[in-house]
Amino acid sequence: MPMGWFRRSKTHRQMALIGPAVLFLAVLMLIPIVLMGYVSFLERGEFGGVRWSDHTVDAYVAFLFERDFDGSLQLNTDYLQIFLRSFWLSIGTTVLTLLVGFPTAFYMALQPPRYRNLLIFLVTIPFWTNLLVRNYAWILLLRNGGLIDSALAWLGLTDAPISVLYTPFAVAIGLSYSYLPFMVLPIYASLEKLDFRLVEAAFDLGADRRRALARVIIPLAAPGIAAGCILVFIPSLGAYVTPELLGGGKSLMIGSLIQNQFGAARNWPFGAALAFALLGIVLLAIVIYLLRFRRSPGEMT
Amino acid sequence: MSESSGIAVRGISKTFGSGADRVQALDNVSLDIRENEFFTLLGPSGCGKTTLLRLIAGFEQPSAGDILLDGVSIAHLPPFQRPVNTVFQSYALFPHMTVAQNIAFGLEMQGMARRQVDERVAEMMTLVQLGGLEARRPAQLSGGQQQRVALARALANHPKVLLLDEPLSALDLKLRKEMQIELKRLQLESGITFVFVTHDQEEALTMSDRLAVMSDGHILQIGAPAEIYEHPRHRFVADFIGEINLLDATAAEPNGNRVRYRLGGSQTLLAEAADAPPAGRVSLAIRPERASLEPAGEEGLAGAVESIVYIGADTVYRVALADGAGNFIVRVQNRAGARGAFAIGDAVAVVVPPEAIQVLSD
Repeated sequence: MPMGWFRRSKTHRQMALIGPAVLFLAVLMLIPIVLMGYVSFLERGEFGGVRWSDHTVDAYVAFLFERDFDGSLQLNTDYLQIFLRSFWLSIGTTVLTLLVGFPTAFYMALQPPRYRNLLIFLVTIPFWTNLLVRNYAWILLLRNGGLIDSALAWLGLTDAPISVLYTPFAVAIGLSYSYLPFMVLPIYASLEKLDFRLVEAAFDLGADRRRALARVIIPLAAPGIAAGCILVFIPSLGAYVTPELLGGGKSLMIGSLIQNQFGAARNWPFGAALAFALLGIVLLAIVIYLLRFRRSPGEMT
Repeated sequence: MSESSGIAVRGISKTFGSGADRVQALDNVSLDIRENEFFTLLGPSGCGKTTLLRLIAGFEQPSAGDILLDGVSIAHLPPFQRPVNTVFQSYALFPHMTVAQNIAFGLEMQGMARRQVDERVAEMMTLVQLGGLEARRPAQLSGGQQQRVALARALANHPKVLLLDEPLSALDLKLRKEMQIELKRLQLESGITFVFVTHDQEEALTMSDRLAVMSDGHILQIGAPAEIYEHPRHRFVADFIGEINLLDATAAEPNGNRVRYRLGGSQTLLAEAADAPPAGRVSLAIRPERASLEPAGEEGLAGAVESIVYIGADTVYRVALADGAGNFIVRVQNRAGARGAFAIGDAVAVVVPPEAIQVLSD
């Protein structure tokens, strides 16, 4: 029986099915992460690279402290500020995406089922265009004398250039645009499951539209909203291309900072340590999500 | 009772969709529901009874007509501005809230103070006999308990009218019987007008003060259960409520205040004449328990026993009438010391008292 080995046991079969994924993750995820973790505990090489035999925690110390001439450690919040700036920018991006994404998802969930798949397809259209092209498109839209600036001036709504490009706001717009599907789709998934008779019940008991939304619809869509926020927040935190192009490189973000360490600064251990600090923040966000929504009330019905 | 209290439905029509998909759910329906009444809308699925309930609740807007509550039009108020609450068929309990939070929801929407809300919730928990389950979530309750929470939640606001959309259909038979009694008790204690939707004619007869029988977007007859059962005015009503014999007949000759009807061949039946006895082709509707079986030769419809079904309290005889006049079901109570029963094939006479015959125009 040629397929005999395949049927030998349940365990074998499961291993055969999961094997490619495990191999993929091990080679392309686990080994690089371990390597990176190891690098973050090494001495930097004089001209880039690392000294493989010298171990130190200097890279992590350097994240918060600066070594004075006399060797004593002084608190240095420069890098922490870059992290905080990226953090606030990601929060801003997430809020902006949520403000646009929730109504979109809600609208989609209210459409007749036969239109919904078309709408899902339309929402994923940003994914069809190259990331760089999308960002350059936003430069054309946002720059002074660009499409939006000209239109506002022509309508007489502004009498000076809008000067939005190369600000954190421009970065937030660009990131929101890129990550909007990540917000819309999970929220849509939870709203689509929502039993609209519950909304009728809320109306029946005297809730107007606003309170039905706040007390019934949003709580029941909370797992989707949280998933969407995490899916937008995490890639925003480490984003590199959009902050470089739309932020104009004026205010450094985590992604650019890490790239700098492996490039111009030739400080691989520090770059690796920064990447690990970022990973830590991301894991913390996921743990919070899991603790809060692992057993969501909406799923118990 | 003043004329304007209760619900008045005036010429309500409701259509869904347009073009070829157009469905006329209600067609020029008018109806008066009195204050403190247990009123039932009865009919098969698709007859428009749930649509009528949803129009009263405010989930649908009428295509034409008006709905008045205590003399004031409510047809175009949103549901949250109507002093009307609903018990949904699916219960529609909020899954993310506890039992107590579910019941408190409507009270909080009214802006009631926290302490009063807590008091009212406790009062409701006692009323529906759910004490101790305040902190449970709906998913942790049995179907019967969920039903009670749905009732408590809808009654907590002290609505003028409580609408119930087939609330018992998901329960098993025993629980359904219990809840029927429970609902009747709650209605009497609260003094609230109940509008109850069901397709179960037995449920409708046992619970209602009055009921409306609906079919195909129309109300066919409104009356007390006994009136609907004893004096159906439509073939559909007669057929839908309980078991009934429907015989095709033509009016023969008036006979004093009675009319003789010819069934086919030499078979005739004498019926009480209404104010305006229908002429021409009619249907004679006779309840199986109102006829009796006598040995052949007695004054009645001649026939032969075709089948006999013993069902405990009663025995049901199916009689094939002579001259092709159709079949006739007779339901005989099994009494102690009753005369010897009939056997299959026996020639019999079906005796029908004139007042037991309901003459329906076709």
